Amino acid sequence: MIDKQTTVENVIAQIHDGATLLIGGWGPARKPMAFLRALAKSPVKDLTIMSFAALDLDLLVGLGKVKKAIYGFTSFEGAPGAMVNFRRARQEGALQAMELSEYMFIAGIKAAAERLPFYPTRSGLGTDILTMNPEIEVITAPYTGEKLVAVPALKPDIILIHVNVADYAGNARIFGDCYLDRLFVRAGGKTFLSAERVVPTGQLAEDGRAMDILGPWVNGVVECPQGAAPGSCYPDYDVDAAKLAEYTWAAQDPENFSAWAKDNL
Amino acid sequence: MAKVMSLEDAISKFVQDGSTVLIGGTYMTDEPVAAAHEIIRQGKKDLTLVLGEAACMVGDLLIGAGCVKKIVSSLLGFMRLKPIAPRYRRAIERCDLEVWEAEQNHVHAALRAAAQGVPFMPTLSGVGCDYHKVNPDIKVLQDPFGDRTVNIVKAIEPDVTIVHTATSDDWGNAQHGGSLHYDILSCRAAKKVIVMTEQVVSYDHIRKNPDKTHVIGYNVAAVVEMPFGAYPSEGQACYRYDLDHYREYLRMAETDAGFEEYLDKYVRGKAHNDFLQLAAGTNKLLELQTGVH
Repeated sequence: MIDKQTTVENVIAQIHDGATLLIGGWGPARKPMAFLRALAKSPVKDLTIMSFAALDLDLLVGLGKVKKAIYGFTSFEGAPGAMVNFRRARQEGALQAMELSEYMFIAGIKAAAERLPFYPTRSGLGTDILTMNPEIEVITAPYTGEKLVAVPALKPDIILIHVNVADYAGNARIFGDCYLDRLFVRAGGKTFLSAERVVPTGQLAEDGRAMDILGPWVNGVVECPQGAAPGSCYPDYDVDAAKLAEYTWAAQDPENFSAWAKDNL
Repeated sequence: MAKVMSLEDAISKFVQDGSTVLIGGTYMTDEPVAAAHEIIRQGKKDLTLVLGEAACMVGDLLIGAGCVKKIVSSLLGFMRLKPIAPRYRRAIERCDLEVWEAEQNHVHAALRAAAQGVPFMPTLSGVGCDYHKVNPDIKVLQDPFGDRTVNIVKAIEPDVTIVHTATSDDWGNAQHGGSLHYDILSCRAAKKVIVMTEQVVSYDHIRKNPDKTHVIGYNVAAVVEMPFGAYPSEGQACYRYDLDHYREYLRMAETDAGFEEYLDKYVRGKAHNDFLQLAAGTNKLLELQTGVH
């Protein structure tokens, strides 16, 4: 029987300087915070982070781990937090950024998942996204002569996702909104899941519902109860509002932030 | 609700001469056979037939009956029973059928383009092959980001997609009894969808298992309740396929006269229940249901 259980330390050991990470979840919801906390404490640096971002990106930027961010949005989406570190880094020009529309981001991941060099879309046409990201091409459709955006494949080295329950083989269920995680696992690179619960292989199939993530896409599974806190993981817990407010306050002072974050998150 | 209607009405309203019609299901599973019979009875012609995943009985019947001008599918066959479908083979040999020469992934790329509202979809399928020389809807494009080339497939937007499901509510939110074939993509790509279902159930019943709803009612134009509508193919979670009838069909369809005889015996002037009684009979139908669910 395939057993892909591993530890947070083993997962982080596979992330090298300069790696490109694709992070699952959405805003403050179902982010793999157990992995990211360990990553924050590691010496790894110069990462490229791809994410529908909130605390994940802000934390790593605040701790100086990030060279480039690729995102469809950055927002705590109503939770009491703000992207303080990210804002400061952008204002100071300390962070390379590829700022996309949500669908352009998705199209780039789709291209990677289908092993295509690019994905065609109308999203982004006529906007300054194209001015700010000259590497994105506009092409003429062969049949209609229409102009379309060609979003280049966004290829991750490592994919980190938090799920409600996984089995030893890496099959997994997500009880709330899956967001784009079913797509993300197919984007290439190594996929690691943190899960609220890990059960023996076979138990997940008992109720006959479809699997959200299939084992063959997954390289490692770690049981991490409360692994998305202080973000939310439906239906187990909502965002920890007090902790996020405290985080936002701590981030105002870059001098002390690093120590605070490592102790508190 | 106005969407629930007879098969006769659904076909006469939403399948026109010259329509592009996509058939769901896979090989001998969830083939909307009753719908094919009705299309033949109504004498529709010049159809462009798109097969999501090689529904063989439906494809071969429609081609044999002269309803189809052009086929969009990489294959049409009855697996181990008959790897190349007999009427399909004859039509091509006689140059009576236009063939959209491609791989099945090209078909799916064309449908993905339609589903996403873009005029084409790139794919690596067939790179290095000559598809672009024989199929005007496939072109070679220089990758704007690298040295290689990709194939570009023109969008195909079916006028109507016909799928078979285990259940549906009266608005067309439908649930399969197992595998989804390519029906999710096939329905999203289409202008309209005809859902042929074993049983129309309540909205509340569908809502009990929302994650099983893969055909969404927004573009469903007709919901047709048709028990054993997929017979002789498998109706997933409802009944097994009837290999005996497939074998009988393949025997008869081998010749022009035999195929005409088949149509007269089972399709022309026959309601679906007549077909079921003639081809299987009540005991056989019950047997096909036994142990399934």
